[in-house]
Amino acid sequence: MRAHLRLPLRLPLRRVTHFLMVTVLMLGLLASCAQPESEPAFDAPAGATVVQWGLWGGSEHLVLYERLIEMFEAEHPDIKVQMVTVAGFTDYLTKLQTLLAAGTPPDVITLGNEWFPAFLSKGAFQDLTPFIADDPEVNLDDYIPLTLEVLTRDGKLYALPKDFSVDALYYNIDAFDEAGIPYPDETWTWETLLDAAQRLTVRDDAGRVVRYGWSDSGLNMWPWIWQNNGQIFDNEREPTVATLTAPAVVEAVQFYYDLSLKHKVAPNVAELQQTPQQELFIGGRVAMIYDNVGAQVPFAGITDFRWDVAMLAQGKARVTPMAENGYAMSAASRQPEAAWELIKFLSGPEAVRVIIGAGGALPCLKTLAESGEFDVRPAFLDSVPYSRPIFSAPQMLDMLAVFRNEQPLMAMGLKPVPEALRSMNDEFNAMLRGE
Amino acid sequence: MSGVRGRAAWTRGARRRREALWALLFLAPSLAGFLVFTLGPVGASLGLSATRWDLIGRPEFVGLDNYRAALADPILGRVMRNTVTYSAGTVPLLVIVSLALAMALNQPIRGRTLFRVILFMPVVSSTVAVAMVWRWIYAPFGALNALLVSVGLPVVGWLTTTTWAMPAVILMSVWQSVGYSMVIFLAGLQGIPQHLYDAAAVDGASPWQRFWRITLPLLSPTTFFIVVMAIISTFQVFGQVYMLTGGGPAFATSTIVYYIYERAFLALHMGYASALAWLLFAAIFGLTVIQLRLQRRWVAYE
Repeated sequence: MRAHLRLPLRLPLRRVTHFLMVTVLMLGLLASCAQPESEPAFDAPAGATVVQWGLWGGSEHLVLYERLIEMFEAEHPDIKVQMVTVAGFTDYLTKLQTLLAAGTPPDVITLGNEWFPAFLSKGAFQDLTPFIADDPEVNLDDYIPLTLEVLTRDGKLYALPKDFSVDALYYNIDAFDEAGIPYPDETWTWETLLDAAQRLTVRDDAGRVVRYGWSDSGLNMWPWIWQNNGQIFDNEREPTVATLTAPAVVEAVQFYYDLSLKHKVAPNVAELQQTPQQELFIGGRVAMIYDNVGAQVPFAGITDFRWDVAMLAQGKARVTPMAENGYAMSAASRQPEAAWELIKFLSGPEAVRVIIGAGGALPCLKTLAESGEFDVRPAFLDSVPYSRPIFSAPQMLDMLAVFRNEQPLMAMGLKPVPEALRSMNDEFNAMLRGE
Repeated sequence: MSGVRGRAAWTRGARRRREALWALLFLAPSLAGFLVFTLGPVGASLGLSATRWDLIGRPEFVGLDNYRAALADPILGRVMRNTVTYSAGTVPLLVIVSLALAMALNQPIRGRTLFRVILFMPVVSSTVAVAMVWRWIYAPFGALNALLVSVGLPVVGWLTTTTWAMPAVILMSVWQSVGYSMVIFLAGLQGIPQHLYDAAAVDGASPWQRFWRITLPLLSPTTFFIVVMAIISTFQVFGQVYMLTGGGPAFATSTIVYYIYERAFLALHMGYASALAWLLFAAIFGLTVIQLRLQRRWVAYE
């Protein structure tokens, strides 16, 4: 019995060593990831070229991608495609960086447009311009110009477009009817939006909000800044200086966070962390949301109420954020010809039909966009001419970390908007100066 | 005579060497695992903590810069305060509740095995699953608020206000780990000789006196063990925070390990994150050493 009681005494020190293991386990994982020259553990017939394709997505998307691979391999019997995939985008980004560090990145890399400078500054991608010049099958004129522009740096095209998306205003028709408010249309301004949101917000006896008037992701101040004729940087594609302290920016961001803090017509960021806006909308707990084309897919299953889509409310200007994905070729690829074939196929009409058919995005090919074969609400197409990509810079990761630090403080009312914007501005400028 | 003894000594030496070899052979699998998956990464992280490394490219040697940057990092101060708050809230609550439960379930009551199993179940449940359930309990229209409304109290934004998020995380953590401490306390309680209680009863000691004079002092080694372990594990809290609040709202529940994760895997500052991990190691090591010193004052061994 004595021995039993004494035993724990020695344990803490052992536990300390054990803890040591735990704190560095993450790094251990990385070390094990970084095995160079690891051969793809998959069954490829002799003589076939193996092309790795990096992408992210949940199981419902992977089914589509597997179909694409089948289609591609049927056309190219000498090429085998192997997916390198992770479910979440953040984890995918980490995986990509790890593979690049190990010198074994996938040959074809799927990526969001704002991330290209971060990878290009490390020389991770090949210029696709020569491939396009030598290949009569690719017709760049058929792409919507903006969708190529966001993937171009210094006159070189580093990826072919996958798909893109713009934001619009989803609204619950029944909630509008119940409140007796006219539906949103292109005349809506910030003031109309706020007024409608106030009338659509419903509280119960305990003071809990049963239904909010409006919501977005809670941390998306860009469209407001742009709509107020402000900018995040002097040049949002190649920033040299941050412009977050400009009065137009401060005013826009203040208006945006006041929706939840002052007017209480929108859930705050912490509530959205618990229940994302799409869930709130589906549950009838928010009457309007700003979201992209993708939300059409989960909303298609709504049976409790009717809904529709309108353009975002305009400020001093009409702007809607756009986001695009593209397929790049890694500079380290040892089979560029086969990788190019895959990129060309994935960006082409056959593959786009499969991806967008169920995925909820807009095609970058004009012929497809004008064909009317996709079930996209008109408001999205109307918004395209006003779309604007989010800023991008080589320091993207660090900049997003600053947003992660400062935005929640503003969103929860713990730091005044002008003060938070000033500290963000200082940090960005320090990064841009290379400090 | 001396020759015989010499040979005996030689034989003994050879056998010892042979046995040592056998021991090493049997230890090899776990020793190899320890070297590759523990000692290697530990060494690597110490090395990395002196570099700047974003996973792409080669680590760049920066000496003690990361440690210097950590000392000037305002966010580190914030997450450290949060960690201490979490620990200070969790550890005493854990000790008191688990001791009370252990004493209750040490009584010959009906169905006590069942209760022990029920209380231990959260310990063996996955944190992710547990947190999902608690998110529902803490939701604005969740079970806990329903309870408050039914007794006429105002509703609380459990995970959505900076005031209540930390207490909510603490509550869930205590619920989740109370079973483990309870089992250890139970073992401790059963190690207290019955004759001491019998003697105290003969002397006319009240149950309260018996608790303060017999149970608590004789449990002190167990209590010490639980406190030390709990402080170490609360300083390493990650899963509960990650799942329940994501460090929010506005960093009210961001703890040191959560920050290490953010630096390493979201911002990709591997070197800095390694330095933070070593600073945390030093802090926990220091705390544990202090506790081992202090135990002489209050831990009684028979």
